[in-house]
Amino acid sequence: MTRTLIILVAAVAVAVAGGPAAADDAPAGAPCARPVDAAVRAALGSSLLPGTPILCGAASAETKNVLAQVAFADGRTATVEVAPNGVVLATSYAHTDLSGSAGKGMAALFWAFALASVAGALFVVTRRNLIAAVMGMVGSFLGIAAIYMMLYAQFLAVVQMLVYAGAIMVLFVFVVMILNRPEDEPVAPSGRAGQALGGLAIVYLIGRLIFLLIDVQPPNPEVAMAAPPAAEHCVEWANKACTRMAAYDWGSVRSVGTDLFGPGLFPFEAISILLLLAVVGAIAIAKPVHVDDDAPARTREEGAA
Amino acid sequence: MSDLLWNVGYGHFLVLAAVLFLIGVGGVLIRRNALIILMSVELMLNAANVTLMAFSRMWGDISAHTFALIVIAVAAAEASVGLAIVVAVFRGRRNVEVDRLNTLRH
Amino acid sequence: MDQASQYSAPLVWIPLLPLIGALINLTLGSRLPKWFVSAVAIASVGVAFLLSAYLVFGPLMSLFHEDHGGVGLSQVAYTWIEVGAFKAQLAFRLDTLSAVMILIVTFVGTLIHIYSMGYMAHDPRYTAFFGYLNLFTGSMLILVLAANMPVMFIGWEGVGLCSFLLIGFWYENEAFASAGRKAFVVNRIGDFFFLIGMFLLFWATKDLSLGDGGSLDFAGLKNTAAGKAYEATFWGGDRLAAAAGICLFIGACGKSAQLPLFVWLPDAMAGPTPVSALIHAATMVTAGVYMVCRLSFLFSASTTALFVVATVGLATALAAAFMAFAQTDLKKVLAYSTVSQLGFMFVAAGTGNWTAAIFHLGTHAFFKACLFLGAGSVMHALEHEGSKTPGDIMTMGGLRKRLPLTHITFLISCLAIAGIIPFAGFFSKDEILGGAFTVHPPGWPIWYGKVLWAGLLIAALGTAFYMWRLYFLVFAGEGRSEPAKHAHESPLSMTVPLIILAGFATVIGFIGMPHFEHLSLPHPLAHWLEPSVTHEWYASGLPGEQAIEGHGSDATTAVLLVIALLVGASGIAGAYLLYGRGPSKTVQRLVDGKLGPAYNASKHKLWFDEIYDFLFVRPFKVIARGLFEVADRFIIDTVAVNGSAFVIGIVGRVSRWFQNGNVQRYLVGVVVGGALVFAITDCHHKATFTYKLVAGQLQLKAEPGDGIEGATAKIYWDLDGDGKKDMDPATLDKREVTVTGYSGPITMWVEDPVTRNEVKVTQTINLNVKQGAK
Repeated sequence: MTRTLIILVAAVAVAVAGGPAAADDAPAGAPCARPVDAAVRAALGSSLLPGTPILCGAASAETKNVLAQVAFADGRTATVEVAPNGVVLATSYAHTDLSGSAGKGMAALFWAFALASVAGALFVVTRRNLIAAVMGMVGSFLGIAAIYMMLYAQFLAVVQMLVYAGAIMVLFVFVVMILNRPEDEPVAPSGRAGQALGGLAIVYLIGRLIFLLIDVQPPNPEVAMAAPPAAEHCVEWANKACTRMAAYDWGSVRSVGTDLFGPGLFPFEAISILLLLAVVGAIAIAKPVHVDDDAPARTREEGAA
Repeated sequence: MSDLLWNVGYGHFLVLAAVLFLIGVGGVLIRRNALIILMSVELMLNAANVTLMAFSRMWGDISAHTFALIVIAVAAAEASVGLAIVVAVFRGRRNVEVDRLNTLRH
Repeated sequence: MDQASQYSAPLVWIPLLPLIGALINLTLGSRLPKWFVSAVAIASVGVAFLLSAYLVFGPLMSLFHEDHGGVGLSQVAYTWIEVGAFKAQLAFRLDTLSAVMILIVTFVGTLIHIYSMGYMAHDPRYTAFFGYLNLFTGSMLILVLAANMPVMFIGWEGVGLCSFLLIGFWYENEAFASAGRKAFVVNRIGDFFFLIGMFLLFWATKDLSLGDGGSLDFAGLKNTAAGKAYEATFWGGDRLAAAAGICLFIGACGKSAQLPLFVWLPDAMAGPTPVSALIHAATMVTAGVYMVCRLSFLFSASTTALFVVATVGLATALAAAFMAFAQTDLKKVLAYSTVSQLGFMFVAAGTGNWTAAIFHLGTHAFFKACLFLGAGSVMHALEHEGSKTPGDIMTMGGLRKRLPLTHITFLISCLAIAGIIPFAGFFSKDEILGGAFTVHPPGWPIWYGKVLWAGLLIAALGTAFYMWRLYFLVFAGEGRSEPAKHAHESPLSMTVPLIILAGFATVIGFIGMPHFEHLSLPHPLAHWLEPSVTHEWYASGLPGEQAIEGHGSDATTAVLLVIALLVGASGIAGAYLLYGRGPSKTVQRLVDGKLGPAYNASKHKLWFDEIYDFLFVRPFKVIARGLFEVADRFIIDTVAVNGSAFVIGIVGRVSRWFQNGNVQRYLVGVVVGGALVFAITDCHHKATFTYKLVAGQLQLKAEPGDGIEGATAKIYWDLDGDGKKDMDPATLDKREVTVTGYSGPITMWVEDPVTRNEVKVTQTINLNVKQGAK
């Protein structure tokens, strides 16, 4: 356990340290040659952020193309590949800072909490001790709740902690105690071939999805890049006209509630019926077949919120 | 590289969700204990929720939060029923290893 | 077919009677009393003989020489084959040639049937034997009475089959059964060539308007129009007649045991002696000679074929005579002598001397049958006394005192075969020799006839010598073993046929007296056969028509006669000197000494069997074994049968892996499938677009790449050359665009909707190029 933790920390450190030193991104430092500069401004001039210089890197050896860094008005930055004669060939958008802050602090926090989630998930999947797995799960949920916070989903973050970590995981702990055998063989000894095949497929999918999803760009940059809008609602009515407006945060309880009991009323009612079904079903299933007066009391699950 | 590290964009959240989801799938495929399998399923649901949140932020649409709330409620219901089944099975067979639950086959 | 003026006679009964006898004996024979079986068998052949005699010598005799092309009587049973314009009927034809044959076959056949009554009296399969004998007789009669080649082939095959059945009659003995099989297989080789010859004849006549498109009727084949076809160049400059003739002759070699295909006849002595007498002396082996004479018109059109016939006949005569010297089995000596005499007959046919061939055929039938039956009598007597090797002449001797009747008939036949006047062999052999000496077929070297004559003389000398060696060793001297000392004469049923045959061997020669210009000695046989055989060479390049028969002066004829007689006498004398008192020490010394290798060669039959075994039988067995191992065992059994079961097992095992009831295994399938989907769509190449100039319009086609990225890419065009993306909805996000009027470089942007990355492609189009890609 300690070992894996050390390894993880080391990996992160290496990645962080190696980042700035990596030569992957074009060392854009110098202003561009005249034809290149003219071509880029001609092609993209209208959307460029005024006042920002266009910086070029060195020409590539085999294609003689130049990579230029441009900044757009909507806040995005891109790398543009330009041919020596000035023809713009390709545009690739850089990753953006979602949090909107200029510092690296939020990014570091993201990585920390992401790491916590993944580590917790790995715990669940690999631990032999069931209680350890449950604890790992809880840790994972903590990380995910923090991620929600970063995404301006405050209410859901709290709900996650209350319901998932607070109720569902407790339920799991109860059942683990009932089983009275907290140890488990981590991997089934039979069917290794199938497991190996599945493992291979999963590893491949992880790699593939990482490379696919990491470059996702929002189609509407203004909405996506800006801080989430605050919604206004009327707090005082007078004669069917609004006299006072108040703004509330996007992602707050009030906004989610407005949506839940407004457009989402039907799902809300439906889910309550579902919960009722679940309660009744759980009791029916878990009930012992023979009612035995001397039997020890069975746990009753506590329904979720 | 540093761009990828310090400019955390939507892609990062989606990747995180994908990784969590696939770890959950791995758990379902590989583990033998029914409880662990149920926990892996919860993990997958959480990953879906993370994806929902990311896209909701991208589009500025609050209704995804409602959806995520419903998902959490469903997860809770499913967990309870699932655990009830685990308890019932355990009562009869004194173990909850899914590869041993095959008497219906013969 | 000839015109309606011929007389239709009940010819079909001649072969049919023995066949009915065979049917009765073979199906019901085991339930009938023995006397009834014999009676049916003998009566069927006997009545056939009487019928033949009546038809030939009776009131219709004059018909044979009226000018119907030699056809005296004919009968059509029914139309057998009718294909297109070709028609082959089950038809019989009794002309002078077949008349001779049927008389010989039925007469000798009847005698041998009577003989068999006594010889096979103790055999458990008595009825089957008579059934087969009748079947054989019927087939032989079909063969000789046939009016066309297919029917002749029926008889040809039939006698081959019966030969097999009868040679291997005592099939419990492995060697005898093999002998039967050997006869059949060697005969088959000949039959194959017979068929080819028949097809060639059909091919020759198919275009002629003979009434039936292509005819194999002998009447049709004799037509002069067909003669032109025979002369047609067939292959490599040789005439069709040569090719057909040689093929048919090879068929005759198989049936009549000539040089390459004679190996079955000595082994055929494994059958009962009456079989040897009937089939391998008198009738079946003569079928080849008959066939050649029947097709005289064909052979007379090709002296090449006749050359082959004569040469092979001579070689056979000499080789068989050589092989007979060292044989110690009574019947084997007679077998080789048969082969040798058949060689004589073929030499006669090869020189165009058809009459002589048939003459010798007839005389040979009588004295050889007599010899064989006599041998049978001897062996029967010795067996009766308990001899385990009844055929070994070294254990015989002194039988002239013990078997007087057999002795006298054997003696007469030996005199006949040696060619001593006035016995039959003298006249027939001399006719062959004289004909060979004087004949001049066009195309032969002028001296070749003399060569044939000389060779035949040597063969005749050899014949006399070894036959009299046989005689002396068997009958002269003193008995050399117990059975020989106590043997006694055979019953009447066996000796009466012997006497009859010996009588014929004595007098039959007088139907063919030699031809002297100043003495008109009658030659009834030649006169009789005249309408049935050709007398001129069919060589249209020669001035006029040239007669086949050569004519020597009277002096030549007389001298030849005397020489032949002397040769025969000296052969007898030599045999007497060496063997007069039994096995001679002189011979023994010579054999151990100087003549050793020759003796060995003779004893081992010139190693023909060994050579054939090495050249043909062993490779064939190897091939058969190889085919068995490879094709049958490996390909069919292992690969196809076991292999398919194995494959199915594997498939089952693999499929079972997927369906073991374990849900997690199924989920693995789902996940792997998902990964596969990602993998398969994970391919992309550099984006580009192609253009085509069609009727003044430029057709552009975008190729954004493969896989998901290409499929979901957004395409922007710039068609007016201003460098900016056209926002025209007609070209926005369209993969194929048409431009009329080209005004500058065309640009395409490919945008990945997920990553928003863009690739820009610009092309300047040369309008002079009709079609191209970047």
